[in-house]
Formats: sequence, C-alpha cells, structure tokens
Amino acid sequence: MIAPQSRWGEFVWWWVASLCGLLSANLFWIADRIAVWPVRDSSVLEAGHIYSPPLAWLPFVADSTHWHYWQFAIVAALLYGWIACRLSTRMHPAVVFAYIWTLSHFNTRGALLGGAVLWLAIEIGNAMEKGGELPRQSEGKGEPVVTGLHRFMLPACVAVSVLAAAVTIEYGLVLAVLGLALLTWRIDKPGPSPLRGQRTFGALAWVATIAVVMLLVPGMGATLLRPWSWMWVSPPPSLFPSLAALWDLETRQITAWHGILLLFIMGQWMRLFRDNPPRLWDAGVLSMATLLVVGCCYYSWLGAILAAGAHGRRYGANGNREAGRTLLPRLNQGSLWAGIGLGGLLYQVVTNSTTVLSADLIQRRVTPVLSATPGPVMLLNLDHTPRWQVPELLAHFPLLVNDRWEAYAPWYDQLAAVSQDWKEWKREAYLRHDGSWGGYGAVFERWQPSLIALDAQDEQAIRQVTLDSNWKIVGVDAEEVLFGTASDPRAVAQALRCMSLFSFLEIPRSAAELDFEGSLALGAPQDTVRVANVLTAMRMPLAALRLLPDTSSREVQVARTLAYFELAHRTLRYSGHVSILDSIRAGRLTQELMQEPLLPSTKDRLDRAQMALAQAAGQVLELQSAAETSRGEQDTVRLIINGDLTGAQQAIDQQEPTPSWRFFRVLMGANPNDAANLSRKIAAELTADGDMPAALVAEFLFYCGQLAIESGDLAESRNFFRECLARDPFTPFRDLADFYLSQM
Amino acid sequence: MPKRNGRPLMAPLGLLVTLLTLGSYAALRPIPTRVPPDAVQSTVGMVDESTCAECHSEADSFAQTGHARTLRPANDPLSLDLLRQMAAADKPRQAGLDIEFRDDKVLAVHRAGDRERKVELKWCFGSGEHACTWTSTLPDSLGAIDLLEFRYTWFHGEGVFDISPGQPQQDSAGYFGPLGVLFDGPKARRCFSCHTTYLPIRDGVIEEAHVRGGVTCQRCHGPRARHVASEGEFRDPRWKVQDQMDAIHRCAQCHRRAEEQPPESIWPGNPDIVRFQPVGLVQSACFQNSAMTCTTCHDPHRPLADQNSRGRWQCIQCHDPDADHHVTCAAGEMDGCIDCHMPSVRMEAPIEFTDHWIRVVGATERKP
Repeated sequence: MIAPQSRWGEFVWWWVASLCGLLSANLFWIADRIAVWPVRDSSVLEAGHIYSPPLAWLPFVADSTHWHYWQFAIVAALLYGWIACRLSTRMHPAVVFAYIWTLSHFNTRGALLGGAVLWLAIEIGNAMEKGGELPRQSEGKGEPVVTGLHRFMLPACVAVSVLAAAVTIEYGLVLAVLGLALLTWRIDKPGPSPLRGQRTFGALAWVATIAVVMLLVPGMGATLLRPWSWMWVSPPPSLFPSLAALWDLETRQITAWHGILLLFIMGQWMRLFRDNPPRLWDAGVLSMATLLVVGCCYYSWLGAILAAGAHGRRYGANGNREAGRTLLPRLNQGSLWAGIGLGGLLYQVVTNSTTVLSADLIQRRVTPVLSATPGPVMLLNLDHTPRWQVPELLAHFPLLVNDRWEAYAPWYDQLAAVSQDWKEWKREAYLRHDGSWGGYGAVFERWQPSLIALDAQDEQAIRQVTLDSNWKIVGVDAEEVLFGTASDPRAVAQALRCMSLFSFLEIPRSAAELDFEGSLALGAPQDTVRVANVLTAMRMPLAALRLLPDTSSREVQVARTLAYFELAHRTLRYSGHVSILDSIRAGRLTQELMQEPLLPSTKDRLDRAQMALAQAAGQVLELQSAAETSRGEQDTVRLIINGDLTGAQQAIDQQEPTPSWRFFRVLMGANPNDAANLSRKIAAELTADGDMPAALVAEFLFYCGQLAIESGDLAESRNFFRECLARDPFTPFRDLADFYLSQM
Repeated sequence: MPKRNGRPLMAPLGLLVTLLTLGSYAALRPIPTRVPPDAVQSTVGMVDESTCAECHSEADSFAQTGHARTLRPANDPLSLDLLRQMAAADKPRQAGLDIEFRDDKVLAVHRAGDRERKVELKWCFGSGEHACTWTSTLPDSLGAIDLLEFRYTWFHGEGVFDISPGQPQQDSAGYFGPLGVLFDGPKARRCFSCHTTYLPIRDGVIEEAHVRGGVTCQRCHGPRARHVASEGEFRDPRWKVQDQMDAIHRCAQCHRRAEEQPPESIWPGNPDIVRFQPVGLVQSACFQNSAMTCTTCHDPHRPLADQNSRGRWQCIQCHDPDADHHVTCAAGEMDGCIDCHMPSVRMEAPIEFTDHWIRVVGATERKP
C-alpha cells in the first residue's frame, strides 16, 4: 500500500508541473519583463481621472512592477499549484494538468496579484458554502471548527475586498465573487436569527462602504465595472483586438488553448448538472467565468481562474473526500504529472536548444533610442500597452491612451479615426460622409504625439506611411514598427540610422558603423518571420529573404513568397521586364502553400499578390513589341505571371529545345528555397549551353547576380552583374544592375 | 442528513442565464465603431446628378465648369486632341517622347537608342483651363494602385507642353523614369480625391472602372438622395455651411487650408502658396474684415470665363467709390483692381495663378 500523499507534497508536485507549463509557454524569453501587479496610469489624455490602486503609488513598488518571466513563473506556479490542489480533489489529474498548462499559455495582463486575490475570494466563498454542508459533529459539544470559522467570514470578506481594491484594477471581479458568496450565505445559511441579522447588517454595511468609496475616489466606480463594461465599449477590432469576443475570428484571438479551456468549462457545467443539488454559488461563479472567457478574450486568464472556482461540492454524498480515479494507482499522481510536465519542457528545450541558450542575448523588442520624447506615444494597437509600461519606459514615454477602456473608451472613436487617417497619410482636412471633418493634422496639433507604434502585421499601413509621409521609421521588431516625426531632430537622426541599417541589410556592403541597437530587434525565429514581412512591406525583399530562417515552415514560406513577389515587382518597375525567375519562384511556392490549410487572410494575401503581379506585368507585356518575343513565349510568360506553372510547363514541354525554351526550362526547374545553389546551377547551365543569345545570357546573369545578393555573396554578385552588362550592354536589366552595383 | 444549500434548478438556470446573456451581447452589443468613410469614397445616399437640373438651373451650366471637367479618361476627345498636339510638339519629341494611339488606348512611348519604353495613359487630370496632366496606374505587390504622372503637361496659358510641375528636369532612374514619376498609393489617392466625386477604394485598390471623374454636385453638397426623394424639403444639416471659415474650408479641402501650410511659407509674395487660393485669401484684410468667402467673387456653378472674374464688380461690393463710407483706391484708380491687388504670378512651370492674398502688393516683398 502506498501511503496517502501529504497535502504539501501534492502541492509541491503541482507547483513543479505548473512551473514547467509556464516556462514552456515562453521558453525563449524567460528574461522577458512581465507585469506582476498594476502600473500607475500615466497616460496623457485623461490624466487624473483614472483609478490606480494604492499599491501602484508606493515608490518602491512602482519600480518593481515588472519581473523577469522566470521569476514570475516561480511565483505564478504557486497560485497554479494551489488551484491544482483544489481541482485534483474533484477531477482527474489529467484534466487538472491540461487546465494548468492551458492557464500557463494565457496572458495574465499584469493581473497575477489580482488573480491570486480572486482565488482567495473564491476560497472564502467556497468556505462559506462549505459551512452549511458539514454535519454538526455532535449536538451540545461546542461548535465544530468549521462552523466556528464562520464568524470570521464577514471580516474576511471585508479584508479581501480592501486588499483587492488596493492591489488590482480587477477588484470588481473579486467584489462580485464575495458579493455572490454573501448573497448565497444570506440565503442558505442556517443559524439563529440574531446571527443572521448581524450578517445581513454586515453585508449591507459592506455594500454601502464600497458605494461611498466609489463616489469619493475618482475613477473607482468605472474601474469596479471594468470586468463587465467591455460589453458596451466597442472599439474597432484593429484598435483593441483582445476586447473582441471569442467568435470574432477576424481578430484572430482564438487559439487551441481556448478550445481546451472551453472543454474544461463545459466539464464544469456538466459537473454542476450532476451535483445534487447544485449550489447557487457554483452556478453564479461559472456563469461569470463563461461570460468572461467567451465574451471577452482579454479576460481569458481571469475567466479561467473563475471557472476553476466553481468546483462544486467538495464532499460527496457520504461526506467522504471523493477519490480521484487513477490509471496507475501505485504511482504518486502529483509526481507523475510533474514528471510529464518536466518531460514536455525538456523536449522543447532539446529541440530548440540553440535558440533557448542564446535567447537572453537576442533582443526581442526594440526600445526607443530617444532618451525621452517631447510628446506622448500613440499606440495603434492597444494590446501593446503592457510593452510600454515597463518602469524604464513609463516615465519617459507616456502613452496618449492605453487599454483602460473603462476610462479611455470615449477617446477610442477619435483614436480609431485618427489612426486610420494617419495610416492612409490623410493629414489635411477632408469631409467625411457624415459631414464631419477628417484628417489627422489638426488632431496631432492638439495631441502632439512624438512616437507612433504601428502593429508590425499591418503591412499595408507600413507601406503607405513609409515613403512620402513625414513620419519615419525609427525602430522595428516583431510586434511594432515605431515611427518618429520629421519635426523632431532626434527622430530624424534615428530614422537615418534605421535607413542605413535597412539598406545595408538589403544590399550588404562595407559599412563604417552599423547599429542594431534601437533600430531592429529580430527575436526568435518566429519573430524573425514577422520582421521579414515588415521589410517586404518596406520594399526591401532581399533583406527579408536574408533574414528568414533556413526552414520550410508555413510561415517562413509565406514570407518568402511575398518577398519573391516584391522582387518581381521591383524588377518590373526598374527594367520594364518581367522577372521570370522570381515569378516562377513566387508562383511555385504559392501553389504549394495553397495545398495546405491556410488562414483565409493568408490565402487572400497570396491571391492578391498573384493578381497584382499578373496585372502589372500583363500591362507591360501587352505593350511590348511583338518582334521582341514570339507569341508562344509571351503566352508562356502570361501563364507564369498568372501562377499557372502547370500550364507553363506543358507549353514548354511541347516546344523545340531552342535557346529561348531551354531558358524557360532551366528557370522552371528552379528550387524556390535555395538561392545560393540556384545561382550556381543557372551559371553551370549557361556554361554548358554555348549558343544562348546574348540577351538571354544577360538575363540569366542578372538573375544570378540577384540570387548572389540574396545569399549574401557580394563578390559573386558583382561579377555576375558586370558580366551581364558586358554580355549585353543593352539588356533591359541594365538600370537595375547598375543600381545594385552602385550600392555595393 | 446534512443540510444542503442549493437549489435543484441552479445548474440549468445558471446555464440559461449565461447563454441568454451571451446571446443578448452578441445580438445587441454596440457595433464596433466604423470610422465614417471619406465622402469621396462612398456613394451611400447619393443620387443620379442628372436629377439636379430638374430643379436647379445652376446645373445647366455646371457641366462646362472646370470642376466638372477636372478628370476625364485619357481617350476623351479633348484629351486626345491635346495628346495629338503633344505628339507634334518640339519639347516632348526632343526628349524622345511620342504618343501612339492603339485601338482605344493611348500610349506614351519613349525611345532612346534601341530602347523603347511604353506606358498606357489612362487619365487626364485638369480641365485644361490651366493645365492637363496625364497619368497611368500600376499595382504594387500588395495590390494597391500606384500612379505614374506623365512627364509632360499641357499648359493652357502659354499653349505649351512642358515638364510636369514638381518633376525633376532630368529623367528619373528605372524603366518609367523617362515616362514620368511614380507616386505610391496614398499620393495616388490624394491626386484622385480632388478630381473626383466618387473614388472607390478597397484595400488600397482603386477600382478605376467605377471612378466618377470631376468635382460635381454631391462632392460639395453631400449625398442628395433624401433631398431629391423629399422633393427638396429635406436639407441635410450636416452638410450645411456653418460660417465664413467653414465655407472657405469646403473649398480648401482641395485648394488647401492656410493652417496646413508650413508657417514659414506664409508670407506675402511667396510664389509657392499662390496656387493655393484659400491660403492667401484668409490672410487678406478683405476676408478678415468682412463676410467674404470664395463664392463672393466666384460662382462655382458657372464657367469662370462667363463670370468676368477679373472685373471690378466684386470689389465695389465693399469699395464703391460712390459710397461715402467705403475705402477706395488711394491711387485714384477706378478699374483694374485685380491688376494691382491680386496680380497673376507665374510659377516655375509655364502657368500663372492669381494671387488671392488681396493687398497692396509691395515691390520689395521678400521672405522674412
């Protein structure tokens, strides 16, 4: 027989399992800073009207709101372990493990301390519920300990209420949980009438005190309603994606972890249905949890904690602790699941060892180099608020508006309108359809933003603002692209540094000084893909291709495809000639990707890119003299630019092996993923083929030169371009070849 | 038996309340704020403008105004006529440019040595009262439309073709360099916005087939479907001009506001702001000391040529020599007010604009 596991032993194992879950959720970035308790609001537009918990005002606390992720994980695992211990008395440990790992993958949004207080409130509520269920031990032998503790429940509620208001902005949830407990306590608890009268008076006094304090402290009432006010705040999804409901697929907030959480919640409801009879308390808590998890993605984490709180009756019908089922009764369950957690974590570490070991050395986010800004930072995606609330940034980079929707919601409409105008470079005033005036210039005169943080995935906006606007890029990372205004000399200096860096990445050459610091942060491989897409949006496809990791994951291939399309457009605009090679590479990858399950937005993006190439190249092809190329060749090129590589291959296969068609065959055999080998292969074909016309040879050499830039071989690239110009001085690619040579 | 707290119906009731709340939220939640679109990018509430003439005689002459004709397809008769002249003009030909007419397409061709570059001209910007500039369009890799502004512009005042204003004297690099300058998406949109009544744009793509060229009735007066349906009873208060400055701002959407110019550029005699009439006008004492607006002197519903826009009738509304309390010309002139107080200024390009900064023009005006 195995001795029953001690409670402390069980807690330790669940703590280990939780820690493993938390570390695996953010494996590459355990040195990241993450908010543990609330930050004092320092935004500009409503300064003074926002409630910040007293904890945030304490000087020694304000400087330590953000801990390193590994520190956060150690502490958060304590909370998760505590929750897991409670849950394991009611459900299978596998379910508890799944729940803990799911919880680990949700963003706490700075509410760790709030979550702990919430769980404390849940424990109090459950204790108050439990007191009514235990049989009195024996009549006349004094009150049982549990019943005796009831006299402390009301003071406990008050204490936790005060604690919640002092340490978290989510105290509305805590008060709701305690209020529900008091309500059910009032309704259901046995006890003599004087005691019940005291409880009623105490509960009413508690409510009245809260109401008075709300009235006296500015913003406190609005913050109280925060866990529910998202229902009547409706910013555009692009401005505040996490405020959307789970079913709003366009915001892409739903993840597989949400699916697991929903299954857990469904299980909790089924458990509630099976309880005999179910408790009002459980129904109330589970209702709140379901509403939060489904209705507002922002509250996934807190909703998950609430869902765990409705764990039903602790004791079964016969008053005994319900035994958990176990597949391996001879093993300590807690240690089993801790072992599984540890195994999962180790597996991830081993398979990503290089990235994990160097993670602390790779910068993930670009921090503004400017020591301070003359004006606030304007976020175009309010989910990025936590990034700007680390202590070292908070003082120097106040936000215009942040994610405290309970206070800033009235500004969101205007912010959305101004953001849209800014993205479309509509500075001057113009009339909107409703007769109101648009244009961001007048609003910026009032707000005076000096930094704008654009979501790094908004590639259309990045492109639109990059060229002619007087806002210039001063930093890029996987989450944000920072823009500074040309009226700020420091921003101009930083923008020049950025452009030097990006142009070097595009065409590497000897450079006196290059500084990534404050300009570019690449992050882990999955971050690098996003940065590559930003560079493609900036019309720097070679830089993007060079940054992409050497893998064939779907995200990398999509990024590669978009870069090839951009390269094809560049060649077209400079030479007036279709880049057969890049069109084939883009088309081939698009064909392969379309066979895979892609997000609709990704499919749409690829479709548009293909259509744009077909249209642009088609316009030029249509105007070319028929004497330059044969009808068959033109038709084949049209098939290629339309992405119909199968049709193009068939057309080529039917042709005689004349030089032109041999040219097509070589390019059609191109492997899209290997620039270095491809240039060697093409060069080898050229050498072997002695009677290729000069024009085609020059075109081949041009492609080789561009491929060599792509693979980073500058010397080889120069040789190819020079050879290209030598073979055919009148090649249509000469302008672009000259440009590349001038940059090297 | 221990006393139990709970109600048998708690579970189904709780679930029902939750589902009802979520359902109500899904059904009733405020629709996420959609920023009202640019007036030029929406046809909601618009009406066929041929109905305007049924009640408003101004509509009869409006079609002849510069506003109405400020954008047309390149294969429009007036455009074709000008392009034929360009094909024979010296300056473009010396630069290697030619115009070819192929079916219903107009092609701009540049030949230098053995190299030939071609682009289809799609649009003609400008009524021709001042100038006409042609453009082509080209999608970028995101599908958004970029604009190619053709190298040469027709300048009506001097009857010549010359380099388009703002373009460098030397050809730019790239295939399209000798043919013109490429503008990115936002700039393309800005160009079209001021020359159209409806500009359909979706995800940065200008749907050229549905562009309504020209600044016509509803561009200034707003959507009028309800006005027509109510037989003129309904007038949308949102589109009503509020005051003197609002009246100026209506025109200044395209003709530029003073406050949107760099402050250092606002000095009398600066040729760079002359073409932006509202910029100079609001600096004028005439504007500041009266209820003067653009329409005090210009009827936008009639062609400029029909209005005697250079006559003194505008001025004597406030400077009548026969009125004792009016201030009149210190030099004793009774006519030709515009010549001294609103002279025409020639730009670098062969085009002149009337300086709307009404003042006694000093001979020694210079940048402060």
